Amino acid sequence: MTAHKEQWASRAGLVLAMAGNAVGLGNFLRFPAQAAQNGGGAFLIPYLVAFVLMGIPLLWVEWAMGRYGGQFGHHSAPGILDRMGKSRFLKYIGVFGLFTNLTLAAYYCYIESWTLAYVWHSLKGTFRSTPPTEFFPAYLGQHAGSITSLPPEAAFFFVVTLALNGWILSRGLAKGIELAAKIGVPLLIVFGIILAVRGLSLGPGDAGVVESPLKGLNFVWNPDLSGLGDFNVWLAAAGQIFFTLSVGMGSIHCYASYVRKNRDVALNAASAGWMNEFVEVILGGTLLIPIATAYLGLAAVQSATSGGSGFALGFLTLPTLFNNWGWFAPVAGAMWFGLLFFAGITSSLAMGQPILSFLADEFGTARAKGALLFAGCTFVLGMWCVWLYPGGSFDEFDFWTGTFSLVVFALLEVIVFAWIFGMKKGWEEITRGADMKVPVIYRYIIPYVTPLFLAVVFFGALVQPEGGEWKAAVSGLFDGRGWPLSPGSVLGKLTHVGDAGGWHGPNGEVTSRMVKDLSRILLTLVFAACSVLVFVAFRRKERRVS
Amino acid sequence: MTGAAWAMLGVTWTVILFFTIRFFVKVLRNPTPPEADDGPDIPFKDA
Repeated sequence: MTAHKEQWASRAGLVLAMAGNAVGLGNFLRFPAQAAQNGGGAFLIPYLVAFVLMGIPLLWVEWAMGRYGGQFGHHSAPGILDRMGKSRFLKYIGVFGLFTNLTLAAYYCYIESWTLAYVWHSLKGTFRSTPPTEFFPAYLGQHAGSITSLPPEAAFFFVVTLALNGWILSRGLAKGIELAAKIGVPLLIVFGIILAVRGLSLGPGDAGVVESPLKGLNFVWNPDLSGLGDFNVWLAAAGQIFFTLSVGMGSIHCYASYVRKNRDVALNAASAGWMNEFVEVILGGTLLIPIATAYLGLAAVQSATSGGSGFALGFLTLPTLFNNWGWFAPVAGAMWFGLLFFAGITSSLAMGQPILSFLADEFGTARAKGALLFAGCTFVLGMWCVWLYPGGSFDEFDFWTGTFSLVVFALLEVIVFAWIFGMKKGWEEITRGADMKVPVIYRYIIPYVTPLFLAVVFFGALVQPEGGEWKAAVSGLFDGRGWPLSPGSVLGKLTHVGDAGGWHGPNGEVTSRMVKDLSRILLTLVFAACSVLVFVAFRRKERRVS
Repeated sequence: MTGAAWAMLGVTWTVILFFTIRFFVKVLRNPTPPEADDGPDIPFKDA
């Protein structure tokens, strides 16, 4: 059965699948830490501005592009982009929609497998006897001074997770992805609500509680209005909106390509987008930090989230804190990691489907075979991340595929949509069959404001100065000190700022720099391979036509 | 919780809940029945 014969079973199922695609681990682990570190409640102002000016327009653009491409039998980004104009080059922009999903899935499924393992260990009661701070490095097979690891248990759960993803994908859109979303999304919301109510009801009389959880909530929500004048806060807010909506990946295009020509995309897109905001802001902002504050105190939580991520709190601290909840502790642990797992798998399925659709559309690959190929490729790339995790391979994948590629693709696609496809046709695509009135101002926001927003995010990531000190960096340019690139900026990473030394250490041992460079070479090869596949697919098609 | 924090939380939650519920209820009230897909309307770019 080829992909274009498939369809969603219900509209609600499609919206839940799209919401599940957007809702990921970042909603619960990244958002609260980003908000707390960037002005608290005041962060929400640039955050919502970015949602309205960049997030919602991008959702409409991607849904409209997807549905348009679907009319021509294309359900993946290369074919969809190819339809946006006459240039033969457009399909190669769409390569991002294959490359990003494949390489992102490789390390994302690895994190997803951790959550599955943590569900198991929570139910087993592992964290009653072993602190997660000891469990986690052992689980990943980390050893001091080593840049490689081959952890059997982590590899086992990784394979289980990939098998589960492959099996669901092989069942098709309606019986696989849609059913998983219909189960996963409501469950994660229910788990989140139960944990939030339990966490916020903690009081001084409860065992282990040192501070009111409301202090944690205050940490997230108290507005520091001085942050509104800080460029970094706006960059962080725009970045968070961008990554939380899963735009710039090609997965939204793929899901939307199964919507028929005259069916709504505007309301569906808005509904999925706002549902993601509900999970992120209301649930995500109410769980991690308030619960951690209740048991650790505000100072410890401030320190733990200073890097803008709640990852350490979520995986290393929370399982221990749940031990204070008596008989409910294993259930709470399973619920916390269960909701992370559901958030993860509904996203990783959305990474797999574009690959399956591409193979089915362009090479006639059967769904089961496509699912197997996707799982196999993800396994090979993922094992690179597993094996060289201590050497930094994982972070390289995260940066170049999970951050950089997304912004590049989103910027290019919105330019293609607004300026090559044209806003006249584009607006018609967005509004055709719409079950809501799309504000006409978006006809002007999409071609002007959204690309500008994205260009600023891209530029900010490209040349971010050391310590985020933009003013000092600009004045440094004029007084001859040059631009102090941050090691985390794109140019800083490319030029190895702050990473002196070569591929080998003083004793000839392999260094993390070698791992990073080899990871980049691997990613470049994957991109090249995806481009070749697109070239071959379209050449075959042209030959068939002629 | 300070008054400003409660105010930010209250306003933001209200806005988000309002749009989430409003749009999803609209989706549920207008279910699209599945329809047969007879394949792509125009199969190739230069058709």
